[in-house]
Amino acid sequence: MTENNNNDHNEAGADADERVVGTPTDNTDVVSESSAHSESEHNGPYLASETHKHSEEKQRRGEKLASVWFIIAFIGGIGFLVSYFLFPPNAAGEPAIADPQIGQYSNMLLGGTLTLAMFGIGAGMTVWARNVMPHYEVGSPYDDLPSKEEEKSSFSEFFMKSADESGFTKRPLMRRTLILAMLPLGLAPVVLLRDTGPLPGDLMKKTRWTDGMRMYVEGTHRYLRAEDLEADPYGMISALPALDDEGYPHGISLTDQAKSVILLIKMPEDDWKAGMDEPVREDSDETHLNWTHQGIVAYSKICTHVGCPAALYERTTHRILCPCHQSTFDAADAAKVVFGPAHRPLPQLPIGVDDEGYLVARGDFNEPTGPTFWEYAKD
Amino acid sequence: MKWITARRRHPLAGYVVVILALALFGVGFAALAPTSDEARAQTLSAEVPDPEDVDVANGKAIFDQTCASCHNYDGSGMYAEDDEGDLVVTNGPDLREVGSAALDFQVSTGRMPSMDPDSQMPRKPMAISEQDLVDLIAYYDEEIRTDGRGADIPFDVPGDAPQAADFEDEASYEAALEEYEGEYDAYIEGADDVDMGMKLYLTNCAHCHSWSGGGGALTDGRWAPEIHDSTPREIYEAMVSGPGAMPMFSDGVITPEEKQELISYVKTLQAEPNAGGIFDLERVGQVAEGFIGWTVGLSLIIACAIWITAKQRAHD
Repeated sequence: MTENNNNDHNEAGADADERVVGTPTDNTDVVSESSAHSESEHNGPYLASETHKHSEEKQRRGEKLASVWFIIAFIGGIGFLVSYFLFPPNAAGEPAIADPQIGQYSNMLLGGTLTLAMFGIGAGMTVWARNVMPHYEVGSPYDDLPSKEEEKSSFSEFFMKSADESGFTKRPLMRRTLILAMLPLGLAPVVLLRDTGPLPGDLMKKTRWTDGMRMYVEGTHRYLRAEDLEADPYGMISALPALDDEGYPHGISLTDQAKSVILLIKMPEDDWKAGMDEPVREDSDETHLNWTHQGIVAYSKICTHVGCPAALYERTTHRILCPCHQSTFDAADAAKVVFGPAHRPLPQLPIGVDDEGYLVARGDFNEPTGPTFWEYAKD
Repeated sequence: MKWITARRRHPLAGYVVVILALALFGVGFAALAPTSDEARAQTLSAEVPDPEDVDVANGKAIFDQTCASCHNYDGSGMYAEDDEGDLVVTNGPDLREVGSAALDFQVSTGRMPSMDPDSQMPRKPMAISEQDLVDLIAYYDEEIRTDGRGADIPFDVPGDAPQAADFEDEASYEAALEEYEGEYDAYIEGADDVDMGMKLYLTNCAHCHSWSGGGGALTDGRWAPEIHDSTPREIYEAMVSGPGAMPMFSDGVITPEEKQELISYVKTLQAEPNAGGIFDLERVGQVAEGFIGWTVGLSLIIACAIWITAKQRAHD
């Protein structure tokens, strides 16, 4: 910064021993006592007699108060780091915060301590400005860039003067506690990088659906049969794969639910549009229509835009509307986008029936489900 | 004005302005927000009608007068070919396969007869009497409905509460009301799996009707109506018949027991006591809460900014 022309000649000089990190050099001209109080020298809305330097006693009180805030901020910052590590994964490597109660505690602690750290620094700085720094008006009109040499030096002069007047150089307790308070906050983002974890591999492109897997009506544990939809010429229902994973109250983790939930839609077969005769993938012989069963089609319920559940289905128009950003898909036309920010159709799940008449998947989706990501189309 | 001029430079003037603005927002919102205490359209609780009480000829007269102009005398609806040769509804759709549940739903919620076939009908008081509706449904079942297609009226699900005007004396009304309330409570409390009811509602209904049942917007100006005023039977009938753009949820897809859980969840949710206060926000949901959060939060931040940047004078 502009300190250069002030301190480049004495970096290794005798003064260097007494310099404290983050402060200006000692031999800079200190102007704090000089001109601030002369009536003629400033033209702000207040008379010079109304501006003032705080009494030494007030400054000392301000310094102490600010230091208290900075120490609180430091404790908050340390607390943030502590609360990040407070809930380690269990022996099986599952995060403890997967439990909603623990997750809530963790969120409260992380948010609370970070609030404390930032608020402490802000409050301490406000106290500093109000009780330690002198108050007067400074006019600084804008000029052409770049600044002239003398302007630069006058700025650095002013900067150093302000640094000195603000008490930053003279108040080591406050200065050191401020630097102390900033330290953990600077470290925090680096620590959080730990969460990026290993690469996902093909996890984002596959769901738990497999050939022959039956499906539940979401919320129940009843397998759905094709004939259950016989009385609905225009039916719709949310369904989940009939998994039974140990340890989850509904047999399937929330992550798997979010990826594999489908919307089963039934419509009269002459409502299908031309898009249903197109292949499900560029390299596939099967068409979207081959992947339906007796007018029942299964689409991913997760919008391909940013992953909201797109399930406002209008049976009259066969539109599926996503409530978040109004992406609209045509269920009769292979879920092509007819409106909104989504840029690819809802993935389709191939369905059929097993020999007992239950609806089953005949494989995984034709495309990755969920919000579109950069590599979604690559293998 | 002198009073204001004298005090607007007061150190506390900024806070006063912020507090006034907050109060204005709060009171203004409370005043403008719609009230939910609109009177419910209540009619006689309908049992399975006794054949002796039914006048099919009257039902035909009502159908020919109020329905046939759009739905045709045989209930086949009115259609025309569009440019691509597809049949599109011009006035009213074909009624022959919709089932009596659809008829009961549309007429008892006042949506039919409709004044304008091109626009979505709101909920209204029923246009014909309860007896006329019974006759109309009997005529529909006998003459118009094809092979008993579509869903029947779920008579075992409680419908509208009895209304005093339909009774000759106070005692018989009170007796009917007590009987109705007994049936209603038995139906609502007969559900025992709140979690299932909630999941069924949230995954299949809440997208359009909102998590609180307040309804919401669809495409092309259509909307999903709020369901606070709906009786259990109307909710049931809407599910099996799919009125308007709503898809159908037959008893195969969601069984009657599961429907009972779902309806019980919806009615229990709506019966939750309201905490009250001007910020109860009519329980419209997170968006309104976010709005208040922003208003209050931003005001506090502005107050902080005023404090931080307030000019100090010598006499401070």
